[in-house]
Amino acid sequence: MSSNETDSSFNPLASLLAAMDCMVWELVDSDSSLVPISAAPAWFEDIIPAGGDRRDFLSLLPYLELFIPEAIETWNEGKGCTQSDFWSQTTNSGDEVHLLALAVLIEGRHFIIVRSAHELYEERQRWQLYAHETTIQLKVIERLKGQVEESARALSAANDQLSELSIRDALTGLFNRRHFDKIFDLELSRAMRGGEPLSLLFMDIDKFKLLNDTYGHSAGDDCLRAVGRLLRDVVRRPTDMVARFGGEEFAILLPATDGVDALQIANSINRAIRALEIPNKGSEVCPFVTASLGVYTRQPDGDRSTAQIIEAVDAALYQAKHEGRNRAVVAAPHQR
Amino acid sequence: MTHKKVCILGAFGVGKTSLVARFVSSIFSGKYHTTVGVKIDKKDVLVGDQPVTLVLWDMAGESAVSRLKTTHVNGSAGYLLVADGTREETLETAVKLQKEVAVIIGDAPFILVINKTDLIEEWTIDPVELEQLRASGWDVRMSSAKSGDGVEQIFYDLAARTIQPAGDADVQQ
Repeated sequence: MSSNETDSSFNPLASLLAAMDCMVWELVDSDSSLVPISAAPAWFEDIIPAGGDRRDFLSLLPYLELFIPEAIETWNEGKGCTQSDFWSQTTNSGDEVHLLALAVLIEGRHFIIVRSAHELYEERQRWQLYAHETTIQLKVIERLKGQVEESARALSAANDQLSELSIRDALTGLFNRRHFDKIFDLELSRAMRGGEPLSLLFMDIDKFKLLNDTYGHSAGDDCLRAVGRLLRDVVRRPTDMVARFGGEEFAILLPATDGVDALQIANSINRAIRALEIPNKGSEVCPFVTASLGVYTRQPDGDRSTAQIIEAVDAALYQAKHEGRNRAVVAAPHQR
Repeated sequence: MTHKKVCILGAFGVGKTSLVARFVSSIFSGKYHTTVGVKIDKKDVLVGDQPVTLVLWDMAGESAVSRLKTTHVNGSAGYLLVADGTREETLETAVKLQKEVAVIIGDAPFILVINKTDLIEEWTIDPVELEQLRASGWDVRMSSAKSGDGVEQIFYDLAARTIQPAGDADVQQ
């Protein structure tokens, strides 16, 4: 654009704006056409394609098609000026030029100013890039947090399972000896504090070795599992506890149970096991599996240690065996 | 020559600018440049025997700090919705943008572009969701701005629809 195309009455302003890398037009009301009033800065020359019409401003700067109606609306609202968002265009040399448009009303005349704003754009771009990276990092953190929570839940479930397994006998699913010892201690302390009776049954499957030798260890395992199921069925109170003590020996802890009830339970177990009719043909006691039981009930002023109680109930069990098996024997007073 | 304004919309970082660069200049840069505001490019194509200048408005990506300026889509003859196959949330953004744009410019033709087929083993977008969109009438395409896979056809097909809404025009570069 030659300097003689500029508006002489705005020459000082036009010169100033041109020096600031701005392109200035006046919007002529009659047909809303753009009349240039400043010399074209280098960036404008660089976006005119070969053979292109340098006066086809809206084609050269398509953003103005949106901005001019916005500017007119602003002026109609009585506001003096408005500024556009950034836009970028590719120059003939393949570089990008980043532009901002300003609409101003001066002495009743409407001007559109477009300027390159490279540094401002880059500053905004850095800030926006940082915001985007932060958004992505927050997403990653959110996803990792979800994964950590899921892992923690799985670990907790595995720990629960492990904890359960650590107190169970693998073959019968009953509690194991270690857990029995722990609970027995607690229940004895509770019985001593509360002044309640506490009963303990020791049970041994009669001639179990013979059963194993006759029918094989698999049959022996089946027998132990069946007896385990039966004991769980017979001993149902939440505070009662059945444990496999080792081999074919079982312990049944009966808190708040007196001697009469304990013996009744022991006899029920004895009968129920026989009623299972698990073959043990070599046994001289019975052609089916039977069990011997020792019964001990601690009175409120009775023995004070688990060892004393186990010794007493073990002696009762030994006596049941000695008297011919397939029976329940209550621990004698001297055994208490 | 007929000018058709086409907007390229989507979440930030999905490859909108790279798709335009691939289509206009046949180039790809692996470096991420976030677009501020809008980047305007032009490309002349032939729709049948009709020359058309596509004026491509590559919008700043949607994010918490950059929302679609609704006036920017005014006058669009069609638009591309771009999502990143490796970021499933960008599909939600594309679907949301489609609703916003439809309010402004109505029933203009559009194509949903799932970009980054070069990273397809890392995709997290649910194929079932894409099938549902296809079933509802959306034109869903795959592309890679990096390899160029699918890019030109997407722009040409959209250009054709801006001229002939039926979308079966013969389009040549």
